[in-house]
Amino acid sequence: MKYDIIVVGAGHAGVEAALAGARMGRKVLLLTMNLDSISLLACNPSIGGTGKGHLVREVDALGGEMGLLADRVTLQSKMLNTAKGPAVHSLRIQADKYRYHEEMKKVLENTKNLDLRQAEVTELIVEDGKVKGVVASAMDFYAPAVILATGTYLRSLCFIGDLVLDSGPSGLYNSKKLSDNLEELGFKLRRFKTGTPARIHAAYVDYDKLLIQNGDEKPIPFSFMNDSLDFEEMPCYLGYSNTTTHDIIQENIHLSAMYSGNIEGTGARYCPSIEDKITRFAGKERHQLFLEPEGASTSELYVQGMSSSLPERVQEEFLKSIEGFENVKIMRPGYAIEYDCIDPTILKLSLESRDIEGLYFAGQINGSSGYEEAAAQGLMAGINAHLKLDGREPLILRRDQAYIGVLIDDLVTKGTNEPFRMMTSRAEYRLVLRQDNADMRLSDLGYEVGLVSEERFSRKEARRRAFEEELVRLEKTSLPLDTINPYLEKKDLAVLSSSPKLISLLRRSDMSYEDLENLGFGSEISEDVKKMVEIEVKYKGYIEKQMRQVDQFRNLEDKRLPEDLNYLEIDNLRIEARQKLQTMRPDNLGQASRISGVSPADITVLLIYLEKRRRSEETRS
Amino acid sequence: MSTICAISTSLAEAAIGIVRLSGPDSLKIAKKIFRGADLEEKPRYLHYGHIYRNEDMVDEVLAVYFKGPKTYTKEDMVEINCHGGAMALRRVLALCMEEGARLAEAGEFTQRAFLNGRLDLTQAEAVMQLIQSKTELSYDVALTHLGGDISRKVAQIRELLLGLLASISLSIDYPEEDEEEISYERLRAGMEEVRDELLRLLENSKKGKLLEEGLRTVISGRPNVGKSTLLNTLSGHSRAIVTDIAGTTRDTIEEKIQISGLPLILIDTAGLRDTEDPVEYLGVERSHQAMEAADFILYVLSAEEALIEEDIERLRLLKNREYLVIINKMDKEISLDLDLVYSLVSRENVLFTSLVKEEGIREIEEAILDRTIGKELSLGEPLIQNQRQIGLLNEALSWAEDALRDIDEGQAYDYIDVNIRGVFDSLGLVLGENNPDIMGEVFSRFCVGK
Repeated sequence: MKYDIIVVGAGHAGVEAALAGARMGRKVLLLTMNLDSISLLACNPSIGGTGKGHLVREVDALGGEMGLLADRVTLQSKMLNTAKGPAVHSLRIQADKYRYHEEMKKVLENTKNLDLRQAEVTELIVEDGKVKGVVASAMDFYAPAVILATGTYLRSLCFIGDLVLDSGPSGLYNSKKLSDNLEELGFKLRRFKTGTPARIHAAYVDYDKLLIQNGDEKPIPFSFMNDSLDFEEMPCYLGYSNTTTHDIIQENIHLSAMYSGNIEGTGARYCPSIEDKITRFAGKERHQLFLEPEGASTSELYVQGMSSSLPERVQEEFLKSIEGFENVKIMRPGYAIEYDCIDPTILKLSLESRDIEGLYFAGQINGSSGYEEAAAQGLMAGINAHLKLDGREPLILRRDQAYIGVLIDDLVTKGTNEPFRMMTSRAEYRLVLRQDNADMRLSDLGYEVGLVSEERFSRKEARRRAFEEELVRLEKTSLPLDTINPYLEKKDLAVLSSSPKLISLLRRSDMSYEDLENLGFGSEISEDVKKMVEIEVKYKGYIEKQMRQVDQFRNLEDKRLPEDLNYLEIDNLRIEARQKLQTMRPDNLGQASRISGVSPADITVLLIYLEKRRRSEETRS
Repeated sequence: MSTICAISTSLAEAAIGIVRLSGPDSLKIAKKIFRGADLEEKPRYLHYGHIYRNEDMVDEVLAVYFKGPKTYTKEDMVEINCHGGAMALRRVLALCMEEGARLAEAGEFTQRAFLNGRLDLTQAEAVMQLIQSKTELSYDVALTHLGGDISRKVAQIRELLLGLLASISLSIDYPEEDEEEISYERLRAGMEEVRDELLRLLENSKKGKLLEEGLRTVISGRPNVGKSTLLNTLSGHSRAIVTDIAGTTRDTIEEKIQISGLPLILIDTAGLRDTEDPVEYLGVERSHQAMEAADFILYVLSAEEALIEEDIERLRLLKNREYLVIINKMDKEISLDLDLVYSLVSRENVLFTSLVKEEGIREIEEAILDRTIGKELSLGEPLIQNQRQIGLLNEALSWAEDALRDIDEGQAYDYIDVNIRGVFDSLGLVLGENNPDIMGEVFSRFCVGK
């Protein structure tokens, strides 16, 4: 059977890759080992959060699925960081885990050009350095592009105390043969580790002893395609561990899989188990935990903050010591999971392998962690596989264009020694990479590659027009003194001597768009455009400053490195830099400068070398 | 890669001078022109021999071959110790060029050392200064740089900034964690410390610049009070024409001297007074300008003469400048009203001399040193004197001031963060490095994560 693109794995990366390919007109085969675990929210029943929320918005702006789907299964929605500047406002929802899976399966089933099939891929068909297809459940499937999005299923092992389970997450099958095959093809595999807490029964929690956590009153949708959200909210609850909890853990710590030496994989520092927390920060008397609903139709609750690989008996014991959890009943124990992944520095920025043409990698197999990080990579791998089949240049998002650009550049250029999570701190230019303007930044690019629909494109255009017109109106319109001064007096603010333009009023830190409306000088534009206008006006100085930094950054970023460059022959480069550059083959000088082992002096040498080369080419022609 | 050559020592009269070669052909060229021993057989040894151009002997020399990469430039190098004096050196140099070497551009040896990974950016810049440094003190300052004092100081400031950035990142990336957010007070205290450290470095950089470029010192005063005598006394020989006729010095005269290692550019000006004589008028005009542009002013008064309106006006202008008022001719009868002088200028800036008797000269020198590079200047202190570094430090300072303004305005943390990162990045450029591991810092300091 012949396809254009074969996607291996139907997790968050795989489904975005497959949908993107099919929507751009490619014939796509999506293979998964289990149709019942499509888009499984294997850990938190939540989507978004700091940095991650930006990724979801960007995936949406490019024509991906995650945001649309999240909006349909929301149980609670919260904009985080609203007390801070608008650049770090981050959306997060609690999602219905079961409906998320069901809805995604439905979307896949109803997508043209897409075949969804349950089968285990055991082998890649590779000829002359090019991928030709896959062998799955003893059948051959052919395609010039294959995207591997295997998640945490490669040779995975789960650990609960001294119990070692030969399985993927939640007791699902794991895959061993594909790992063997990847090694035969020359890929070096590494072991990463992550963990998840217990799920407990909602009926056995004393909620009076916990703090209720509600969502926003005016929830904002993830997708730019939605104007509002309608759902029945479910609360979360906040609680704390105590010194008794910690004593129990401490007494049993030798039983934890993490400390028994069974686990060889590298865990993430940002995702510490409760064992880690009490060991590394012994002085802390309590650690917080959040109870999150797994879905509207289930009693299972996720205990965020208490990830553990202690024996189930100990998990129950320490949970019982927590106030409100006295009668706790564990439904599924927490566990640690270890799996194979590749070193992402073997990839191009397009996520294609440098060694095997047409083979793409996306998601957790690249050493990342998180649904949103996976979705973003899956989407980009899907887009780039499509562009490659068209003979077009790949779509590479720069660090100043998108969090997705930061994510992929960090993975591919810097590599990672632990499961990689997106954070706003990783983005240097976050004032311009806001979640409110993701469509302005990216929808045109999504439209050019053929993924953004006409409808989405015209919605973005309408927003852009409204935004620009509103800015002009604010600049042109003056406010009469006899309107503004009484208003200022009422607010105990100093009166003005000449009539101000609306824009200068909005620029003041003590004025907001709402004030303009109160003065009768608002405009009939949507809330999201109002927000965007307010941000652009209020933070103009900062945004311009950041744009200057971006310009400097672009200086190196725009200097392309020729593909035929033989770094080994550039005499003045240090040996380490020569070798690193020769294997990594960066796209441009900016990327080269971020490779570890390449010093600023090496970049100067490269600059000089390129200049020399350019001149000698000039004289020749 | 070409082979370069240069005369690496001063062209001034000296006992010996060195011609240096660096690059792949260094040995080949040296072998061609040097006779007397096999340089290649024993590298790092000083060999006696002669330089020949065909059959003509050019100079009697000592030569040494250094095999790369364990050399200054990491390339093959040859050094030829010739007899001093411009003639011999130039001929040997010309001969190297005839044999295929190219004349090195200023600083090219250091540039190669840097490009070949032998030096970091700060070190390379320090070496460049070493080459250009004109005085003893400046030479020592350049040596301190090489030890990495600036790098250390700047790295310390960055360490402090990294802590602040990590705290901000914590509050932004982990808004719901049970960790205390950094307060505006702590941010302000941290940034004030950073700003003060930067100011200190920049203050020192001014001293560094003085040491390298010299202190432009104008000698000013009415005609015939002893300005030219002062210049001559300080510089140790007679240059300006000294007469008793008022207005003898019609043009400004510059003289470079050194006081305890501090280079001084002394500028003697035409006597300040309104004049009808067009030639002299130009001189007076020029001296006004010289005073404006000066780093330091020595205003000379004569004890014999009472202050006139013009003096009073000038003395008033000295406020906010670095200056000394020198009351000369103390050996003569005193008709100057000292109280009036003290009412115009600060008493501690007034010195008394008798230049003809060579009294009070040392006091002047000490006072100049004291008021410029200061007593506290010790060579262990990092001095930044290079334009690129000063530029970056100023940039860092301006980011730091913006950050402090934001903190005062209670601006959101992510905006303050832009400015703190600005400081951090500018300082990173001083060191030629930039890859902050802010998240690493967060994880090591705080207990966060689901």
